[in-house]
Amino acid sequence: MMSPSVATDRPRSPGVAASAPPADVGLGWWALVRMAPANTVANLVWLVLANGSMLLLPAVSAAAVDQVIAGQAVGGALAALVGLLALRMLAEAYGGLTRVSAATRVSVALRYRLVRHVFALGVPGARRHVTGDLVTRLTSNTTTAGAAVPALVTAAVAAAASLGGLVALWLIDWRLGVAFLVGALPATLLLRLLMNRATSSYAEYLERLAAIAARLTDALTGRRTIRASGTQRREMARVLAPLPELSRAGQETWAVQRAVSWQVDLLLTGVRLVVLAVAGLGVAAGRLSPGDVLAAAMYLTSALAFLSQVDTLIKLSDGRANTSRVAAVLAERPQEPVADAAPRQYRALAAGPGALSFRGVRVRLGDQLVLDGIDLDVPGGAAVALVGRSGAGKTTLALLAGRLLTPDSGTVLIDGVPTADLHPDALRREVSYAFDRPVLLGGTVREALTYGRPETSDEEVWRAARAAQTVGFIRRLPQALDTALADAPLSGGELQRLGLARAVAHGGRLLVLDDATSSLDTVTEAEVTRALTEVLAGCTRLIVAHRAGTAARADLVAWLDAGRIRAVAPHHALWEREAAYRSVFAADPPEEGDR
Amino acid sequence: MRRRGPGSPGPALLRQELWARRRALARIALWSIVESLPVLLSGLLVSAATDRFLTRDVGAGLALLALLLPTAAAGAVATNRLFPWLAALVEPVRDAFLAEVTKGALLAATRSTTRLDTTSVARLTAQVQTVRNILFGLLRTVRQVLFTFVAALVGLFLLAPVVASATAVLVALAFAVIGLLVPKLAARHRTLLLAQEEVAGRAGVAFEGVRDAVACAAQQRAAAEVERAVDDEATQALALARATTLTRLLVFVGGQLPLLMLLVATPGLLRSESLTVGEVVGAATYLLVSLEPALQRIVGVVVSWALDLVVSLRRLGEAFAEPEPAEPDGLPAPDRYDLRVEGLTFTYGAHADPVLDDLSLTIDEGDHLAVVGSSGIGKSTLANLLAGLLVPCRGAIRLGGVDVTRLRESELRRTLGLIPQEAYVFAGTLRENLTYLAPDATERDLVDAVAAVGLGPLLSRLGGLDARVGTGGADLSQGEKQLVALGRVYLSPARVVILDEATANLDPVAEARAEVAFAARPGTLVVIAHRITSARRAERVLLLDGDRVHLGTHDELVRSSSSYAELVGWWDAGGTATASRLPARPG
Repeated sequence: MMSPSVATDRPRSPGVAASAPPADVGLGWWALVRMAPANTVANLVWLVLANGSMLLLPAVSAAAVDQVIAGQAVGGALAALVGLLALRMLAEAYGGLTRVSAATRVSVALRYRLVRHVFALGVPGARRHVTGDLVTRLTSNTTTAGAAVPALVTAAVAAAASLGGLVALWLIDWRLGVAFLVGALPATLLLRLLMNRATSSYAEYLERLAAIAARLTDALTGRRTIRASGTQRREMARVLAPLPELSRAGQETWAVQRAVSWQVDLLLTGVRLVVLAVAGLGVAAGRLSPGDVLAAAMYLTSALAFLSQVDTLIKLSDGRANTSRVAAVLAERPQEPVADAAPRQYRALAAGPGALSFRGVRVRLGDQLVLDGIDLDVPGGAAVALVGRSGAGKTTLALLAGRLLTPDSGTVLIDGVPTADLHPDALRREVSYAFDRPVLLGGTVREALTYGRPETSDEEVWRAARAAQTVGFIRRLPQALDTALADAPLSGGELQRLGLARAVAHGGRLLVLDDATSSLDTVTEAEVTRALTEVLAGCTRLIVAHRAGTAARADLVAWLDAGRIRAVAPHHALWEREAAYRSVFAADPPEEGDR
Repeated sequence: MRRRGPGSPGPALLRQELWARRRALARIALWSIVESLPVLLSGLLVSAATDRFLTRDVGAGLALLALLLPTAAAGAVATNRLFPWLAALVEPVRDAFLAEVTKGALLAATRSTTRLDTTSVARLTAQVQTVRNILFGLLRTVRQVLFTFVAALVGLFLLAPVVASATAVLVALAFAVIGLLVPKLAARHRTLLLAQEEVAGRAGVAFEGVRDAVACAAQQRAAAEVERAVDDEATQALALARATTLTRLLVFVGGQLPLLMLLVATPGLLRSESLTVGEVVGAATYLLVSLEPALQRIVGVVVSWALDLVVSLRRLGEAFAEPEPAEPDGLPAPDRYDLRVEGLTFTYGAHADPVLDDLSLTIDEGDHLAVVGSSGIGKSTLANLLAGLLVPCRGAIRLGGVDVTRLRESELRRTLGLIPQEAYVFAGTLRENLTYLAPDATERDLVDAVAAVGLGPLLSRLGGLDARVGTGGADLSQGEKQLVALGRVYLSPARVVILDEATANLDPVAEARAEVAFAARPGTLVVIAHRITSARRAERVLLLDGDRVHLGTHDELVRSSSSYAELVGWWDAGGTATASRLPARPG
């Protein structure tokens, strides 16, 4: 009955995008930095100032303490200290500010590129990706990628500052430097080991959390059933069933943290102790002053700071991973260059009846030949139905008319002009589409209906609404045309009729109905067809049809079978002659996976 | 039922959960004190050791420093003991939030009839995760920083009370100013969060509608709408960063001013022998090595984390379920299953035309009624009203003589089954999906149901009742999902069944089989028809036709209603052959 292949041939699986080879669109560190050069440099300057003053602070403090202890005049040393502290405070403040501005600017630049690219990829791109996944790339992936730029600056400056601390220890007394290195090396190794464990246990935790989210999404989709069955409580239990496992994975992350914390703490105290003891011996031997002990303790903190840079390093590797998720989409090539990016001569489209012709059209999706040499003429002003089993290529053919998809070979002509020679926008002003599951864009019902043509008058909007038999529905909405889409309770049929109204309001010489009445019951569909015929007199219609009634009302039927035109004739002629034609309507109901 | 304190429900739930785990909190506090011993003693020991080293008493100096080791060991033990308590605090809090949010999302979704926004799930889980991460961070890092801070202050007090007192005053001053700034920061933070949600929301619609935008030649407009939201978020992020900068300046007051004061006062203090040289070094160590960095972290991290926490808690609280009114002890279900509709009127909004206006009809027990009419005329609304999912504006619906809105909810749900067009199939086995409403169904019942609604081919394709179905029934076609939903209600104890275009994605033959199976089942059947053939099979037909209503048998309506005749005629003009070959009602 229902072919199992239908569910699997839907191309929008997340796996497609995930398994694509890592793309290189030049989104390396340098490219990211170049998205916000001024902010990054400012961030670098302020961080260098902040860390530089940090490195000078112990020496200046030590000098001040020693002078104070020795009872000397301390004005100069104190003044230097005040200046240094003020500089550091200012640098910290601006460092924080420029960190945010650099990160924000980079992520905004990435977002602009991504949004434009998603639209440039058009319908083929949308078929490859799942919306939720694209939204994640646009929001959280770009944010993390942006934050990585200042993190890189921080890591570089902090590494230099740590090294500076070590050098300073060495300068006070080389023995201090040696003591530090002896303690710090094992601490670093231990930390690395624990970090790996922490990352893997956290990944497991996030997986469990995602499982709960998936169950909740499931339940929200079935909300009407759940409400009608009164099973809300059981659904809660079902959604939260993985909670114990989530808790267990959460506990594991704590266990790792615990190990990191006490072992590292102990090691650090050891390092501190050794360095202080060496400093104490230096005081006893008269090599070091009391101020030097203070300076040693402070430089020790600076030098050990690299250990707390682990967070920054994680940010960096996170940043890379997130950047490559954005880059993977940017690396996909649009089916044709963006119209305005490459100036070229387009032909103008003279007035005409809206005749549509396909000449030797082939389309390949993945490794499947979806259309295999289509030759078809749709006379101007005629209504032609596309009929065929699921997967016969009906939707693909319909998408070619407005160049939402470009053929791999062959030509599509509108009133004798190849669509490839027309500016895409000029072409699409003449071709309007209504879909099986339209997505309404814009904030209100009015905006949704006039989306491509905001200048449309209310009169025209109501005319289109009448043609789509949706006047009564709009009138019943709380605020009629001004109702926010979010507040409009839309059934599948109501959504389809608004989609139809949008297409009618859009106008043009060719209207493509891609299964656009499938959710309407037979009565409404008949009414809609009649109204459209009246309103759109003279306009060519290309209709993807699953119902015999729809096909019967068209002037001609183009019967598609496995990517080829099998026959072009009126419905009743095919119906009487061909058993195989009749069986097209008896078998599969409309499927989502159809193309 | 949970009891919550006053105020926003999110923070209230956190308070309640923390209070319930006050024992863990107490343990955490105790072990934190032990954990901060090394910091407390560090300055004291360093200062004493320095004085010994200055007097060339190396042995005593080293011995004093060596005392740091056992304190460090005690600290490590404390850390080790501390963590299980931290986990015992944070994980259950996260569980409580996840449970509340799930409950809220489910109840809100099942109550509303407007467009479903599943991106909210991603947002909610992300926010629960934020709360967990912040609690994690607060308890792991901030707790340590705070205790370090206090320990250093206490140590300083033991070493040099004058310096410590001055420091404490300055720190208190800094915190007071930060406290004044917090409400403003919180507001900015919230604005930013809303701007972030706006970006996700707009991008979700725009990306879903790439095809539509391109077809409308409006991809520029669609992209620009997302970009506007992106720009707005960036503006808000920068505004928050600028506002936060101010708090950083306060580190100067609490962390650096005390050091300057110490240095200015030192000559006098040394001369009056209130402090030794070692004590000056020790005090400076406390201020520069422990206090100031701790203050930096408190201001830099704690303020923003705490704001994140509060804002996320409040946002999550908005997603909680409304406190349920104690379910009115409704009337028990009657033992008759006839439906009487009396003067039913329903309107979606104050300014809207009524969807149903003064509708009256009776559906006898065992009756099979088909409802036909153009899409959008109110068929689904009628189904919702009959099922008690919507409350009529005027009039009533009586099941066995009892107003459905006054029936005990649980009994109404058991008595009445509604199958919507969008079939619900959840991750689990086919058996779990089918016995969802009939947990006690026997193997025999299952076999019967499978045969009756025509689930056989699906079963053999997937490999039996115990085959697993993925999330959202990913491996099933729309029609197969509808068959599962049909089988589920067929098995259920429901005696009034409403099929709301529940067979729309089945082919005509499968649709006929399912309807015939339900008609043969004991009880009352209402079919909201997707195809006119559903009306032919019914005993009676209700035609909703704008302001008029026609009720009768198929043959009566063909004669009496021109619009019904036209409707049937349209069908006959198109697919006569299919229609006439379909099985008619049995008997």
